[in-house]
Amino acid sequence: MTAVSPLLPSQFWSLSIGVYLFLGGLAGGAYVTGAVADFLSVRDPSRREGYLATARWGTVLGVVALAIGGPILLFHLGEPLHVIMFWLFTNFDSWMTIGIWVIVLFMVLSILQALWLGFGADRGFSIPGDVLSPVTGLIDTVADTTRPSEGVRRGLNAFGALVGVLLIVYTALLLSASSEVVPMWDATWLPPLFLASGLSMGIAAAVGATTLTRGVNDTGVTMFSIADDVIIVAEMVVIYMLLATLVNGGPTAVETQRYLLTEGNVIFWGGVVAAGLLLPLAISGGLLALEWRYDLHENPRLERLATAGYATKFGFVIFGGLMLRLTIIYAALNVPLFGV
Amino acid sequence: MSDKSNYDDIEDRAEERLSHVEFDTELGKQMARDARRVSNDELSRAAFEEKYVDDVRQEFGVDLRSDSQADAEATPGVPPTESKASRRDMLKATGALATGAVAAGAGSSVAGEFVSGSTGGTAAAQEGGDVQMGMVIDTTTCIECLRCVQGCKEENNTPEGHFWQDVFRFQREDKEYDAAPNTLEGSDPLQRPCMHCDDAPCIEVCPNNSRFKTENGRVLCDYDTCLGCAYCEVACPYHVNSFVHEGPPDYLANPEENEDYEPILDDVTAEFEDQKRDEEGRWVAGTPPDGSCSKCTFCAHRELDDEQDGSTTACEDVCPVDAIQFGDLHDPESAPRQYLRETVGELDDAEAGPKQYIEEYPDETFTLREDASDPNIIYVGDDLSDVEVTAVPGPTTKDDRGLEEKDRTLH
Repeated sequence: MTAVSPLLPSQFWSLSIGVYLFLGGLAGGAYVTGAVADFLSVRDPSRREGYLATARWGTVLGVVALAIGGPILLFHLGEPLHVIMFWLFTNFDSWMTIGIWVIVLFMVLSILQALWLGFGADRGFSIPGDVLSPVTGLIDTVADTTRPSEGVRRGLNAFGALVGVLLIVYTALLLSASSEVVPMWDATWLPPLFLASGLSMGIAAAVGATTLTRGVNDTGVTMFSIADDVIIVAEMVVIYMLLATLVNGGPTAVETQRYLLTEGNVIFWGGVVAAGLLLPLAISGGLLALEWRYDLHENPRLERLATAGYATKFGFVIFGGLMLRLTIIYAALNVPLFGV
Repeated sequence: MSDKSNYDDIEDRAEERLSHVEFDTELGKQMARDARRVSNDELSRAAFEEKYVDDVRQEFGVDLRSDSQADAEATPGVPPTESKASRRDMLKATGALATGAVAAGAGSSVAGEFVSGSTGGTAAAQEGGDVQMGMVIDTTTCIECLRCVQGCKEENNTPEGHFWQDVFRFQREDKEYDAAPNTLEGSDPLQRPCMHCDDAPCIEVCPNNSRFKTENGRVLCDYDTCLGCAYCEVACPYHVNSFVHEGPPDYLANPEENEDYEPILDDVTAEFEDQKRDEEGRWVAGTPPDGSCSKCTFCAHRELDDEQDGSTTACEDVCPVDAIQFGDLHDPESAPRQYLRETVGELDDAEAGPKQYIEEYPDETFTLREDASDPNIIYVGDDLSDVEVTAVPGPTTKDDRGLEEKDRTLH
């Protein structure tokens, strides 16, 4: 194929945007995971503390991921100071506009949930130390003063989870709005792909933090990991559908698919498929077999092994999520101005 | 329609808008009326020139019979410009005069509107608020001289590596070429300015409304608010947007110190180094600032400048073969519409819009990427959307003109 196409999408949006999309997906997924854990803490009191830990990690990781991703996005801009004119962001035909306001809402909801779950009467974070006590004392006071009833808080958390889902999906729609120019950013399959990947990464991040801090016994880690496995399988199906769509598309779509599977094979086959999908499934399978055969409560050594195994699995899931977004950016080709 | 009613709008508009100007308003009104008579084939160009050449020279210091400054110097290998479409040249000249007269008294935006009407055809068409500036570009007459590329670069003083107007040279896979690919016979051209789309993707994705469509259909960027997020670059099917990393190249600022560079415009560049703001104060033309995303404006600065002719663009002015026709596509009397009639043919429905040409004359006209947008550039020539092409140097390269070659990716 020869055609005239002045620039590739990755010459406009490159590493910083890929990392931002990754952090956005991770933030939304972590919050959703935390919100689910928050509800499970009521339904299963025996694992209450473990679930609440995951709930707190979800809110914290949501805030932290966007606190990192926001500046990355900001400094990608040519004129970052123009963001100060926030009142101009009213073009709701643009997914960037929608995303900006979703991020603002998401940050508010995440911070509120982190405040209520981690400070004040619950003291979930249990931040120690006399040095910080004047500050944490103040935050505790704010938390207790503003804390609504549990029903209202959980209602807000459910709403926050919806916003989290929207945050994940927006990172795909931001790209797929240009699917007529960049076939890789397919409007049908990119949103479910990013949604699956975002939820998977969110579970990996929030539950992974719980795994590292509280281990795997009575924390719901195994259950979340199984849910993650199901999502990973769904993600594999969506990736297959995306590839099938590309190979049946126009010349640029076909060229994209070819590029992905040839020149881009290391990042795609290695980073996304092997490290991000197959390896986590394999580790998860091994750990499930271990848990099925042995009672980890009775064997601290095996429990440590399982903890390390789940942490490793979750680490690969997060790495794969990053590779997926970089692949989506770097393997993208423009439909040429003319020619085929 | 009576003769009187044909010209009532000119009288009314002139009374309103020429009341404060220092020039001879009666002359302006009379010229506008006669310009429309020429447009309606009621008066010959020669008679028009004969009637006004002395008055115009005396009043405005302009020779009605002379061509634009851009055509002053012949370029090797480029045909002389005397063969330009006669009626249109006359209308351009009239538009230029009207610009000065009207703008002096009534403000730049009014000037632009009036001038668009004078060039684009009837003033009534402008008043209808249904103006869509656009171009008809003839790929069959283009001689690949790249004067449009250079003229645009000089006039708009565009940043390093930016070419708001570009000319792609290529060979089609479905065509045999007997000549070398560095000759006119051995290559085909495609001129590519911004398409100023009806449903511009760049406007749709721009988060803070920095991209917008003007009343006369230009798609412009407000550099005061542009974020430089590059979303417009990603979304544009025509790849016309460019992120500004640095200012204009040295050869534009100091052409005398760059022996390889020979300007084709005399004194225009200096005029457009400043910011050009529209009537709402938006910085929409002139050299774009670092960090913004810029593109072709259809020379919007001309509309905003009291001294300039807003009815033309730099690329149109410098084209030696009239391959670029700029005007209101909605006005049947505009230059591009006239060009389509004269070179392609009449539409079955004379009231139909210009894009009907694509339907009725699919072998003679085409647009690009109409699947992704609704462009306002109509090409005359063989559609090349579905053929394989290979980029070739053509008879003139940017290096030949002293312009840096932009790194272009082929895939």
